[in-house]
Amino acid sequence: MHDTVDEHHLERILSSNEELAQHNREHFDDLGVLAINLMSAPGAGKTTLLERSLASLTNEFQCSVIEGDMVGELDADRLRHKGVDVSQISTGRSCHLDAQMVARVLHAKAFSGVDFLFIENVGNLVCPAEFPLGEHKRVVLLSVTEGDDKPIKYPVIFHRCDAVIFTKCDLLPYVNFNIERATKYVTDLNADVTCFATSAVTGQGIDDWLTWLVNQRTDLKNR
Amino acid sequence: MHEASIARAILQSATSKLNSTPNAVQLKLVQIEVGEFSNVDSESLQFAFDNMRELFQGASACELQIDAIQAQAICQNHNHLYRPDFEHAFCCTICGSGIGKLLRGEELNIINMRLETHLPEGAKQCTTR
Repeated sequence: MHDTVDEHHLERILSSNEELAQHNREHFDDLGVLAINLMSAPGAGKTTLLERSLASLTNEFQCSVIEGDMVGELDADRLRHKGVDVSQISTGRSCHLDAQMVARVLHAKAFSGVDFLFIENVGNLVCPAEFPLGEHKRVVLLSVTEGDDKPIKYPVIFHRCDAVIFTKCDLLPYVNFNIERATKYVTDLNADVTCFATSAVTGQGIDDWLTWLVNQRTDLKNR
Repeated sequence: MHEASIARAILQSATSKLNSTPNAVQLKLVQIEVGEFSNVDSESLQFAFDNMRELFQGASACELQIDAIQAQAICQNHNHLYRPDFEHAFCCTICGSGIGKLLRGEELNIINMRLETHLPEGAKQCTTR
């Protein structure tokens, strides 16, 4: 005798990723490491910002990087030249990191003594927004060459982040990018966000970004 | 194309429910709700689900029903309730201020599963749970 039965229940579809993200967060908290998830479109300058940031931060702090890319270790090799430990995650055809991938790295390597762990996500302004990794802070980069309308074209990732870094600002005289308009788009989507205007070439805004990072770590230590 | 990851998560959850339900033999329907602010494209998700379901035992005939949930926000300045949209750069349609809090629109949930059960000859369906 065949019958059908409806099972009504509310279940978050990505709950398994969220549970693993919470697991990763417990690792980070136990280690006392501030975990930063860096997200942007491809070519916005995540790796270059990291190179510039690590050059200063490593004078005082222990830093480590988890590098997410679909294929190859080009970015990882650039960061290794800065003298930091880099763990590569090759996602294959997947367009984002997920909590399981990060958990595997956390279980394979000791991060004791690390102050900052930067997780460079796969270049993409859509998919990474749906997959928290357990990070303490989510940072989105937007280069001025991409256009100032990106926040309203990709609102979700800008709504769910803690900081936005406008990169390549040395190119502002040559591109049609209105930084006030871009900042308004971002803050209209996200009232709590902090914005930085930076250039890894000239050093503009880098000190403000590094000060913000150090303050976030101080807040974490004081909890 | 994270819709493939989401389709897989739906099928894993649904087949887990199928396997843990006494006398259930196959999935007939999974009903989900998808908010406007969830970054999920319904057509891509449907495509991924339809192409992936045969890989999961008991799910080859399962339909996916997607209920779209409109976003609703409270604005930053006056606590107006409004639907944030691209035309207004997601700002309040009454006063023009930004999103203060998103009340709805981030849903990505399974809300119902329909299972086909097969009771042995002479057995009675239990009506209490």
